Amino acid sequence: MLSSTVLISAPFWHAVGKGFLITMSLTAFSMILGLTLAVGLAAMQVYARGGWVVLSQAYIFVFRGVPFLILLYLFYYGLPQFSWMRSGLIWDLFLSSPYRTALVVLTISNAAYLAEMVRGGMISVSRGLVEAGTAIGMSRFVTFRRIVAPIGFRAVLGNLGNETIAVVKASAITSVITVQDLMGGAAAVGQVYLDPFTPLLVVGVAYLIIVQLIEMGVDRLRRSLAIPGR
Amino acid sequence: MGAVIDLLGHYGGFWVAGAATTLVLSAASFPLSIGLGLIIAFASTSQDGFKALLARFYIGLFRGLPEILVIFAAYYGLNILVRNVAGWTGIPIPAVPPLAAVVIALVLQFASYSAVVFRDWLATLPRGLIEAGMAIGMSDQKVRARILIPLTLRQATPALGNLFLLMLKVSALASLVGVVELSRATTIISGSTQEPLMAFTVAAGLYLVISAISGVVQTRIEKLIARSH
Repeated sequence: MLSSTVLISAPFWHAVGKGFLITMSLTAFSMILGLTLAVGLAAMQVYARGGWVVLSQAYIFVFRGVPFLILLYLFYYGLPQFSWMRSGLIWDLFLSSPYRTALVVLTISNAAYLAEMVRGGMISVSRGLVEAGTAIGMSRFVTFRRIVAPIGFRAVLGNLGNETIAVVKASAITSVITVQDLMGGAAAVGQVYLDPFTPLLVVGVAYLIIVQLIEMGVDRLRRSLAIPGR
Repeated sequence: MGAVIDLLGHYGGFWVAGAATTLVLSAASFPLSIGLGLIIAFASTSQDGFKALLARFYIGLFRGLPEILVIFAAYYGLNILVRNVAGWTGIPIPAVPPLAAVVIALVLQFASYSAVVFRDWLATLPRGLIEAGMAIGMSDQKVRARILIPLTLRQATPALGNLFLLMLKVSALASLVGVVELSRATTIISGSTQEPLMAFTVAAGLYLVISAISGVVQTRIEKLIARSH
């Protein structure tokens, strides 16, 4: 039933605060790790050929086509079925912790979406600019770092903002494998108070604030990266 | 491989039924969300400042909320509402079925996504089209029904196709409030066979098949539209 009991309980606000930090850290880490993986996947399609292209395309097809919930279940419930996964490095590093399992799945799936954007950014950099870099004696890596990466980044900035928001929203689903994020932590306290609804309202406002902050941040970044006079 | 065939042999029918529910869920919610999305898009481009503000608020709200939260809120919220109404009026109203709550949640949320698509396309339509309609005596409604909506729907087809694919995936969250669609069916199978790895791999494959088929249908529709130009 709808009531205000849960709103005046200290454990609830504690869970909201802690959940806020977990949601933010899941988003931040999976954006950084996902972007790294995505640059690799995009480079496989833009700079390599043959098997690498197919591999990268297959990765993107699979991880964009399967619902995030199924991926979570597959990793959290499915993988520990292999006995060698239940011991050793993989278990200690990832599967033993819901948070880290969530981070891995979030990163893997995020990378598939980001790879498409990064690829778009890479192709948007005109060949002439790359050739100019080569002409003044830049190595391929330096050309990428000094020319392709900054120009491509500017082109995909808006998409990156949207993807960050999508990650914040997807991270709420990790609550189903007991991650105590904004959604999971607050919902757990709601269960104790037999009030599943009121916490959702509070958490909803928190998500709206996070999304607003990201949009403002992207806007700022866009303005500071804009080419003057254009 | 043999084990997978065994699993499919035993639970194939259950899985197909779940997949069918997933498809029906999205197929029912999608047109409604497009309808509501069009209304919101027109409101957001309206001369009436209050209407436009309301539309912007709606879009900001549902674009920012996680889908899982909207589904839970719709499920719990509607049931609280129904219980209160039943309490006040004394009329016994049955609880809201999870399926209905999920359809409402998906429609509300995806209307905001499609409204953004429509709004952007509406902004690109030349004003001359509207003026031409008015010049031959069409009312505002007629201009909308005969000119703006058909053109916008046509332009937005690729984006709408992507939204449908997104909805297919998001509808997996319906399993969390008890709708027995593809994901819930898989969870049940995984529980009773103690084979989560295989069960969820099969489910992932089924989702890919559904997405691939929808993708093919989408390209067909896009080609049909391109030919009618």
